Amino acid sequence: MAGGNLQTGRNYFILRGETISGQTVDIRPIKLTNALSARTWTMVSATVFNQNFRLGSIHPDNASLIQQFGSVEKLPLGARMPELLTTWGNLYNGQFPPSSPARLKAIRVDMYRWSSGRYADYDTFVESWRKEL
Amino acid sequence: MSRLFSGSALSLGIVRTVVLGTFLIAALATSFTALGELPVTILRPTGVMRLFPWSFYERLLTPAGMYSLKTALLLSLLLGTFGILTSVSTKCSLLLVVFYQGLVRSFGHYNHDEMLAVYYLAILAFTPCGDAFSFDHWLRLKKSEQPSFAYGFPVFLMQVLMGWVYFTSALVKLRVARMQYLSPDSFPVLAIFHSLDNLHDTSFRLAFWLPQIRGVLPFVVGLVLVWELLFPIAIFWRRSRWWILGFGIMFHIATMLFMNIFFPYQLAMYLVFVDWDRVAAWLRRS
Repeated sequence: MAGGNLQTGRNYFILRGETISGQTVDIRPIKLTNALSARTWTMVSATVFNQNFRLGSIHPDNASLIQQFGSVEKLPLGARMPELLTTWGNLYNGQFPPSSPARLKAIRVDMYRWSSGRYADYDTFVESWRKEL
Repeated sequence: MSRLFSGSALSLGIVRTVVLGTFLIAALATSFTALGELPVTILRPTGVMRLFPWSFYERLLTPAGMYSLKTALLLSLLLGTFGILTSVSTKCSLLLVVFYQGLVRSFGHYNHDEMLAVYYLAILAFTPCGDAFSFDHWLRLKKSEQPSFAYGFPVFLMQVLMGWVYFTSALVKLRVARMQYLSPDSFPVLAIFHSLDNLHDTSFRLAFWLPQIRGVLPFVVGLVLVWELLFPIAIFWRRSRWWILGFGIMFHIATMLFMNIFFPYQLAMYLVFVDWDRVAAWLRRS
């Protein structure tokens, strides 16, 4: 493992949900898919940057999507993020009764950037992927 | 040297229970059906996992498919942990655990926490680890009739593997980052990066305090590097074991508190350094 470099900027992600009652809540995916212990952050990053479209053997549905857009480079970032968000949203809502105001009406992953150079400005907003449930 | 290789069927049997039991507890606590809900289109099969066709993953990554995998894994690990049909159950456990570890790595990255325990499973699968501390032994299906070397060498090999893991970890850090690894910002930057999101298993925020003490951090990081380089001493000099392993426990707890990175499997594998024969003798006396 290489050490950190203060001059290198870094992206990171926060999973959030919007409840039926209108609140925005932070959601920790480890509580939804605990099999991915210590791996969730790289899975989200790989999904955002479409690493699942850059394999030797691509899933047929992903190959169709590439064909639709023309090339991997033309795909929008997080091309498969809606499916991942839907899964997490459904797993989260499954913890509550159907009438609960704590259930989510939408779920999103927000991307932030810690710009380089100093120990401050950790949360420059970059982009968000949102899915209505 | 021969003292290093000598061991008893009892100590190897206890190590089998520790290693397989660790995977068993982890599998019991894991929701495989939730994993089966994830979309197969985000999977990035790695290594030999690329040999399986997508149609296989389509069937496997369903709640029913993952439930079947969990059932097989639990059954195999349970038999192996308690030493029932040990020579078969340890081999089945190895295959299923390797497959499962490959699957979760195909979603994320090559996390190395579990790897040492996987290597231990491979060693146990091909050694007489069911000759004692097992139902096979109590039911008289197996006897402790091998020479002491056959029971001691596998445990010695496991200790060497752990020493190798830490020693090479230090070498890799120095090879990749060179002396930059000892810079005052090396550790705080890494620790803060792992504390910003909410995708890690824990969400400790102690990392944000590190820049205030950045002046002393090169010494702390240097001390950790020295500890990793010296770890193999624990194999050969028993008296040093508790200092080296004690430091290791503190190190892994610190990485959890400061970096939100924890190595529970690796810590559980420290138990291969316990002299189980001495523990058993002490228990008999008391």
